[in-house]
Amino acid sequence: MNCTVSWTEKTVMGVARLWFALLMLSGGVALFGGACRFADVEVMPQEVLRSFSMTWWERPWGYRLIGDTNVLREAGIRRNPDYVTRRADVEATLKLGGLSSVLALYGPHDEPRLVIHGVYFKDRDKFENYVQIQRTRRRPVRAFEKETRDGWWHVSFARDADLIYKERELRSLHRGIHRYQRRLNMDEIFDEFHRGRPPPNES
Amino acid sequence: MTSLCRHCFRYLCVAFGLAVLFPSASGADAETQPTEPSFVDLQHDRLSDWILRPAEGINRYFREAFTRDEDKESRLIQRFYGDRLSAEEVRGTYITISPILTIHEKEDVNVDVDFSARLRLRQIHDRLRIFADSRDPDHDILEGVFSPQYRRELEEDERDAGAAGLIYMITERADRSLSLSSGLRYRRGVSPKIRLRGTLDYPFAAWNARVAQSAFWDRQTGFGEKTELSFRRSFLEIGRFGSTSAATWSETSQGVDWGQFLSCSAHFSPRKSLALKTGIRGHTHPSTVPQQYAIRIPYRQRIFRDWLFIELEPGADFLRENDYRFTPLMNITLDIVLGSFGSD
Repeated sequence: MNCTVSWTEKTVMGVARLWFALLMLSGGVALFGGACRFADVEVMPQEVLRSFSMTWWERPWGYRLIGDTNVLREAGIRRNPDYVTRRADVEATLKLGGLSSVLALYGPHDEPRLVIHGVYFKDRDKFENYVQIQRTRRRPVRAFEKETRDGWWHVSFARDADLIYKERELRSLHRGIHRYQRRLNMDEIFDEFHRGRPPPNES
Repeated sequence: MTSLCRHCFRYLCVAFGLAVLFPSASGADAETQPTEPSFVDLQHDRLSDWILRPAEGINRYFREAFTRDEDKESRLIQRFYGDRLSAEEVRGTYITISPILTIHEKEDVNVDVDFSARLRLRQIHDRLRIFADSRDPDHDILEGVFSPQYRRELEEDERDAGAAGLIYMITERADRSLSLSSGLRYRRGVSPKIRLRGTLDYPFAAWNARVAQSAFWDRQTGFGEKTELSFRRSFLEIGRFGSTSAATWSETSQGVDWGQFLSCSAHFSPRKSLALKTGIRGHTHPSTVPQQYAIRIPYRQRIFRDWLFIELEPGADFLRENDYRFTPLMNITLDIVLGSFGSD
């Protein structure tokens, strides 16, 4: 009987020791592996895209995110909204002093009538240079700046200069942009929205 | 002499009255200028477009000619935002127009219009630019002191002329530069001109020394060279002191044309500055003799945005042809900048 107990005790102790050893080994492996593994960071965080999207409350009446792949391809993005990754567009952003840019297209029936373009800058001088360029374009654009911990986002809303927007549509656009500005707490840089074609006389 | 003093006093009163009233009336003293575009802004934009759009067109033509479709920026972004790259490429393309009105004791009023234009061609080469200037600086040894008599003298000797052509910056660094320009001088006929110019900056203690050397050839005046040595320093945060010595020799100069001017200026704000300039110039052939002493007190004020400036410059010349008599004058200059002049 004593022998049986002793054998059981030995077995239990042995299993416990083995368990402890495995635990220590796995802990060590986990620690070692964790140290060697590259930090799990997102270079293009999805939260940014979510922030840049207009909520249903901000979207102009009848507008939605455009999903037509041909239009998205023309804009150089794969989803909507998305980071701009096409080489020529990335090069253009870099030449203009930006580090990264995002794009969102809105409109009724897959016809883009409003574009949100965000360009991220780490250097204030380059940001201001970009603002100056945007101004000289004299395009129907409203531009805002959003200061972050490490840099600045230049967020601009553009409407198509060649399309006609009705008075009601323009009002809805301005209202949506205003709500968007309040949500993201952005400062307005300039408003050139009036430069597009004037609305038709509805009287 | 009494009437002369009365004349001078009147000019001075008019000048400073303009300096005080004109900017106040236009709201230039306000720290923040209106952000809403006014009628004047729109007209300025329109005139700037005449300069920038052709420049953008040239750059775009060269960019698109050598770029495959897949390497071009998204057409949709261009449709909404315009061609942003062209706008970046023409930064530093501008024209400065400077009407100068000189009220002079002997000749009443003299009017000149200077201009200087630069067109950047970054798509062809970042260091290449087209230039067009109403004045040729190579023969002018008192560049910082405007004097209508001296200008007329240069014009009579066919040494002053407008020039247009291409500049290639062989080296362009903060402390040194070397450029080669070739083009045409135009006034009383057209003649080709080539010029090589180098500058070297050397800071020591609070001073900055600069040596500039130009060598040039044009068919009308032949070979020539110009050497400049200048020293500058800042003091008391708003003050700047400068000294420039220049000497030019050319096949049409009277021996060596030499000049020296000192300037001391106070920059009260980015909008206002006041300076005192004194200068002397002469030549060495047939004998070394000073031709002119000059004194100027320019007051410069930004009038509107960052493209319209006024400079009121009372002063006096002491010319050899007038037996070094005190000859008062007043220069009133407007500087109008059109185009994209943020950086060059």
